[in-house]
Amino acid sequence: MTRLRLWGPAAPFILLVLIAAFGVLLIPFDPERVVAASNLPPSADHWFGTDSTGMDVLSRTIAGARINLTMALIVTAVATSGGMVLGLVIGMNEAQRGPLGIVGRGASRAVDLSDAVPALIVGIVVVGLFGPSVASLSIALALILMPNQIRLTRAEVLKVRHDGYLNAARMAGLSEVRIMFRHVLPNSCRPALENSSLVFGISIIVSASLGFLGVGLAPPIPEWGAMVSEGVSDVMLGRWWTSLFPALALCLAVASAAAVTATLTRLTRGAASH
Amino acid sequence: MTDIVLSEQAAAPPLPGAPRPTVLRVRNLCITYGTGDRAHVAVRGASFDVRPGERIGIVGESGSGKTTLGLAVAGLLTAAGARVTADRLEFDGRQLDRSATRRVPVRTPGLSMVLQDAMTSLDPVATIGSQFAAVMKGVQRVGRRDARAQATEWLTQVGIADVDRVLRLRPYELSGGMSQRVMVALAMCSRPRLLIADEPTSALDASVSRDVMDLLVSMTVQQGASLLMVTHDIELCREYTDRMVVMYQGEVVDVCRSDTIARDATSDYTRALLACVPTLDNVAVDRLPTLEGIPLLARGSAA
Repeated sequence: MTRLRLWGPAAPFILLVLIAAFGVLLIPFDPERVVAASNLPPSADHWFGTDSTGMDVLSRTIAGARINLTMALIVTAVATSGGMVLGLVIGMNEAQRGPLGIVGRGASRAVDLSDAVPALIVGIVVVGLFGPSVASLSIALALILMPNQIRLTRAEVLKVRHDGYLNAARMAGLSEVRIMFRHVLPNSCRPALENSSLVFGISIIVSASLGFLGVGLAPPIPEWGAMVSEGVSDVMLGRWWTSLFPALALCLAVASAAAVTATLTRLTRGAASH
Repeated sequence: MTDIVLSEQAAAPPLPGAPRPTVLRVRNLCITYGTGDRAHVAVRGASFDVRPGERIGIVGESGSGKTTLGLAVAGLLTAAGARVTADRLEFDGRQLDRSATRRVPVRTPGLSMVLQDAMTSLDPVATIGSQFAAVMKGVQRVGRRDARAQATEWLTQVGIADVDRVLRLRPYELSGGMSQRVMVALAMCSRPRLLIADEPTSALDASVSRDVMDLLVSMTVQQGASLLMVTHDIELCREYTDRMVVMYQGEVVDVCRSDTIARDATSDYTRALLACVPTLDNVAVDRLPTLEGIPLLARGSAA
């Protein structure tokens, strides 16, 4: 039963990951080459049609899964692990006297302040500085999404910080670093972990938004946001297929990540209440 | 009761007749929270000794400073904004440095503590086995397999039957009595000279609390450790300790033998406190005596 409750909602996401991993082996055409006449509607040869340059939309949508999901995965990992460590360090130190406490409080307020900066602006600036590449986009997205993970972990650390077992561990002679990572972090990481699949979904949306705004990856590279953006003018002319299919893929990815979030939240809450 | 305990104590010390060093010596210990106008003196000039193998109870009502005193000796009054001064605060012949405002508590070798609520003293996400291993590694630098073997042994000693299962459990899967037993085992596995127990039974029901007290006594006797127990339960103290330190309004008003306290108590407060305890002798009275809210002692200005 538990197994079904976990794997059922996670199935679309797992399917998507499999497509991202192995889809390029199955696609009928090279996703970065002109393979047919331009603007062909969906047919038996080209299921999703071809775009204005004559590239196969099905092949590009599947190949885009790899790029979009890889970026989202890197961003989620970096933002969550980095956010948890920073939140842990800030939370443990910000109430202190002395320079460490001042730095901690400053960092804490800076994290709050970063909420006032629109995500897309940060993305545009970073991509503008380092040029459009998977690496620079990932850095930009991690920067955008890390503050929330920091905040979630910090708030939990503040609750855990005065728990009796920490002093018990100190009296047993454990070092402060060990206590932080062995006792404080496991007791305060849950909100950030639950939020990580939301981070995954948001990072896909933001990377696609940047692609849509034209600061994403350069054209021949199949990226969903850029594909939607390129196809949008065709929609006016009745050629709906070039942007519809990548847009659907985008929705599916975000929705399936959200389903995983909901499942994880429900299961961990359930475990906690027992 | 006390006679048996005394004879058991006699088995622990090495040389008969030789002067045994005092485990804990406290002289004129003062603890102040806050500074300036907002200063509050929680403990005012406390003095007492704990001898090897001896069980001392610190009793008093809420706010009498008994817990503060216990925490100060244990070194847990860091970052709490407390100022600790003392003419002497010696553990095992060495001066304890409790005055420095350290950020976090540090381990004092030979000193262990059992806290009021065992649930909060155990990490909720770690298994009992891993917490044992962490303590063993921190204290004795033993390997993983040794740590597990020793943990099994200690848990058996504190009366846990299903040790292998308990080692795999997490604290929230244990009952209150069981987790307090685990805490006692964790506290004793570093073979302390002095065990400080802060209200060890107040989170437990009456029958379980007697089990835990019996366990504390038998474990400390077996290890030759002294016990410093902070409690509000004067009857528990009479039964399980050798001597009592009675505190009131931050001052030590009485230090005397537990078995003869009814006769030997020197302060009016101790006598009044004893009179408030319901016993079979005073069951016939209509109303139990209660203590007046007015301090029996002149309350010194808080500065």
